[in-house]
Amino acid sequence: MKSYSVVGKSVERTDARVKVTGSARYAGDLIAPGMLHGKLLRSPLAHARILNIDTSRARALPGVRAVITGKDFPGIPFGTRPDIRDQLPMPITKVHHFGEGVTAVAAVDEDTAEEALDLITVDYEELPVVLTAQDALAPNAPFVNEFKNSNIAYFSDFVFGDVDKGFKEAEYIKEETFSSQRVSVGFIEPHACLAEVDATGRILLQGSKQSPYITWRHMCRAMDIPLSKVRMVNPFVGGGFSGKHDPFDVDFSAVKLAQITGKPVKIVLNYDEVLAAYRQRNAMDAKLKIGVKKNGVITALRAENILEGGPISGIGPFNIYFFGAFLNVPYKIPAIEYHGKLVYSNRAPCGTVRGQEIVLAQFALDSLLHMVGEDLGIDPVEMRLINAVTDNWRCANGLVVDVSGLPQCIEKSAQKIGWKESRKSRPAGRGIGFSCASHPSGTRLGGHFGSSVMLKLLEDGKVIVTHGATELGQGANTVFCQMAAEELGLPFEDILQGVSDSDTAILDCGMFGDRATYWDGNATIIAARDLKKQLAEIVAGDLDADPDELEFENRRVFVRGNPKWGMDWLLAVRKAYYEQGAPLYGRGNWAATDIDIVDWKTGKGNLAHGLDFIASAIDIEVDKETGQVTLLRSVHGDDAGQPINPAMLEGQVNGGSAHMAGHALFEESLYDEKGRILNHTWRDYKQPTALDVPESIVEHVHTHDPYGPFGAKGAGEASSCSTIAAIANGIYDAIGVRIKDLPLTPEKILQALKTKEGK
Amino acid sequence: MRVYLESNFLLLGSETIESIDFELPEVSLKELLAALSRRSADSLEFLRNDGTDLSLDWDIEVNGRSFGLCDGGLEAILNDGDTVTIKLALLGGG
Repeated sequence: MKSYSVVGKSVERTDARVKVTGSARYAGDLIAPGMLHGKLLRSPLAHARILNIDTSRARALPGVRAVITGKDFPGIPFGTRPDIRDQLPMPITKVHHFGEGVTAVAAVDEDTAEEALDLITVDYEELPVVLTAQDALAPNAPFVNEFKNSNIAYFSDFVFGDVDKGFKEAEYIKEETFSSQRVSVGFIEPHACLAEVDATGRILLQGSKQSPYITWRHMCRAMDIPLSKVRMVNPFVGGGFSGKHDPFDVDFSAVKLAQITGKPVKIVLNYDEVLAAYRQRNAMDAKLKIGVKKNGVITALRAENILEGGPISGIGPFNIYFFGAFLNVPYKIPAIEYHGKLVYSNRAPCGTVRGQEIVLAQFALDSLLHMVGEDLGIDPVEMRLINAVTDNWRCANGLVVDVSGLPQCIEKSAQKIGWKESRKSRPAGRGIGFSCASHPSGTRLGGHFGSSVMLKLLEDGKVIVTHGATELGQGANTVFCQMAAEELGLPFEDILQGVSDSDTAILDCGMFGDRATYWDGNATIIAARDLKKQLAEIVAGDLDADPDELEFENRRVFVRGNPKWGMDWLLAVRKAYYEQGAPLYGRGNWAATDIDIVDWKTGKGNLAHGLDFIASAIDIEVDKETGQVTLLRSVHGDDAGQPINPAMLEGQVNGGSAHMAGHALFEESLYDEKGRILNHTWRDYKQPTALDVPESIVEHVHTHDPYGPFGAKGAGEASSCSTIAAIANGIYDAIGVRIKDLPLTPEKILQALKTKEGK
Repeated sequence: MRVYLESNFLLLGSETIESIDFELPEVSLKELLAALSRRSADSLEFLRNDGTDLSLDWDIEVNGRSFGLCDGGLEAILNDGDTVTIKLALLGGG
C-alpha cells in the first residue's frame, strides 16, 4: 500500500483555532454599513386562511423602514423537483404550520423591529388541522398544500427481484411495525443571513447555508431574478445536518427587505423559532416483513413506509426514495418490495437529518433482523456476518458494492466490545446492541451534479484551494487541503483555504449524502495534477527533461528517479511568475458519470460509488427501577476506505452516533391537538450533551475504494444509520423488552417491563 | 402521429404511459411539452421566459440527442415514432 505524507495524518483542522477561540465569523456576526435588522411575525395557528394583514401601524412606527408580506413576492412556487413545486417564499392565502413566517419587518434596530411586529394585525379563519399520517390519509381530510389536491405529496413503489419466490423459499417469516417521532435537526447555529443590494441591483446573500447552490436556484426562481443577479457567499456555518439546504423565509425576507430599502438587512433567528418552525425529521410508520432460511440467510423483504413530512414536500421525495432504495444494503437481500408514501401535514416542514431516512430504514431492518435471529437461535453477530454484503456484490436494485469492509467491521466491533465474553456473563441490566449500516458517497442527480475545485498558485509558493462544497464543520476544507498538499508534494501548511463565493467557485449541487470528500476530493486531485502539468511544462526545459518525467515531492520538482536533478518548488513558481508571466490556476472537476442517474420510477440502477460501511456495538445499562438507559461504551468498526484524516473521521463517526443517541432515547418535537408545538425551547427539547455520550472507539477497517480519492469513501452518515437499532437491540439484550416505537423513553421501558412481567 | 416518451419519473402519473398520440400530421417539441403540461395532474411547467426557453429544471432529449441540437430547438418538428426523453434536474438530494 502506498505511503502518504499528508493523507492519512490527523493534521490540525484549518478552522480549528478560529472556531475554538471564538473569532470565526458566522452569519450572525456580519455587519454592513447602514445595516437594518429584520424580524418575522409568525403564525399562532397551524392551519388557517389569511383574511387580511394590516401593517399600517407597524409602518408608521419610527425606525421601521419596510414591512413585507407574501404578496410582495411574485407568487412563483418552488420545490426540490420541478414536478412538485409546492412552496412559496412566504404564505399568501393561508398558513400551513405553527410559527410560519407571515410578515417581516426591517428596522434600524432589533428592538424597533420587535415592537413593529406587535403592531401588525393578521385576521385568520382557522381551518381543521392534519397532524398525523393517519389524519392526512383519512377520507375527507382537508388538503394541506394549496398546490396539490391530495395529501399524498409523493410516493414510491419499487420491486427488486422476485419477491414472491423469495418468500416461498423462506423457512421463517416475520412481520413487525416500527415508528419514529418528529425530531429537530440539531445544528448549533440558528438560521441567519445578511442580504445586500448593490447600486446595479445585484444581490449579495451571506447566509448560514448548507447548500448555497440550492438556495441560489430556488431563490432566483421564486423571486424571478436571473442567477447572475445574485451572489452567494458562505461565512462559517455552525452545522447543517440537512436542515439548511433550502432558502427559508429568513433569506427571502432579508433579500426583499434589502431590495425595498436599499440597505443591508440582517436577520438572525433565535433558537426557539428554529425548534418551532423549521426543518425536522419526518415521523415514520413502517411495516417490514422478512423471509429467511433457518440458517439465517435472508430470502426476501417487503416494506411499507409512510413519512409524515409537514406542509411541503421539500427533499421528502428523496427520503421516501432512499428508504426503499437503500434497503438493498448493508445486507444481501435478493428480493425487495417497497411501498412508500410522503404525506402532508400541518406540523413543521421536514427536510431530513444526518443519514437521511436510511436512519429510519436501518432502525426497522436491523431491529427486525435481531428479532429473527433471536427466534431462530442465531447469534446477533453471526446473523449479520451471514448476510453482510461483500466485495463486488450486486444488490437486487442494481447497486454495485465495489469494496465492502463490512465483515471485518462486524468482527472488529464484536471483538473490541467483548461480545463473546459478555455471552458468558454480564451484570444484570447490562446488554450489548449491534447494528450495521451503509451509506453511499453521493448519488447522481439530474441537472448540475458535478464538483469542481480551483487551485490558485501564489507568488510565495503557497496554494489557495477554492471549491464548490460547503464546510459545515465536517472538515471538508481540511481534507481538500490535505489532498492538494499530497498531490502537489507540499506540506499541509502551504495549502490555504479560499472563500466560498459563487463569483469565484462553481458551487456544488449541494452538500449532502457524504459526497464532499469523494466528489470534491477527486476534483482536488485533478486540479493538483493540472497545476503540476502546467508548472512542469514551464520548468522542463531547465531540467533538460520531458514534462511527463517530472515529479513533485518535498517542495521540489525533479526528474523521476533522480531527486537531485531538480529545483525547489518556489523557484519553479518564480519562473512561472517572473520569466513566463504565467501566474497559474489548476482546475479540476469530477463527477461519477458512470453511475446511473436516479430513476424515480423504478428505484433501480447503480446509484452510487463508495459505499461506506459500519458495524456499531453499544454496551448499555438499563435501570429496571427507573427505565433510565445509560450508554456505557460504543465501538464502531468503520470502513471509510482510506482515512484522509483519522481524527476527523473518528469525530464524524462519533458525532453521527451521538447525534442519533438523542433521536433514539429522548428527543421529540411534541404538538398539541391544534398543531402548536409544545417544546420549542432548549429547556423542553432535549438533545444529547457530553454527559449522554458513551466512551466511543472507532476501529478503522482500512479498504481502498477504486473510485475514491486516494481510495477514500464518504463518512459521517453511516454511524447515524447504525446507532438507533444498536441501542434498541442493546436494550433488548439488557432487559429482554423490545420497543419499536421511538424514542425509547424510560416510560416506555417501564411499561414494557410491566407487560413482560404480567403486571 | 405517435411520440414515444421516456422519463426517470412518473411523467403523467403512470408507469404504463409510453407514448402520446396526436391527431396532427406534425407537432413541435414545444407543442408536445404543452400537451404534457395540460395532461399532467401537477401542471408541469417546462418552459420559461414566456415560452421561449426550457426551464433549467428539465433535461430533454429527442432520439437520444439534446433538444438544443435539433433544428429549431424547442420549435423542432417531431416525426412519427420519435422518442422524447425527459429527466428531472433536481435541487436537493441525499
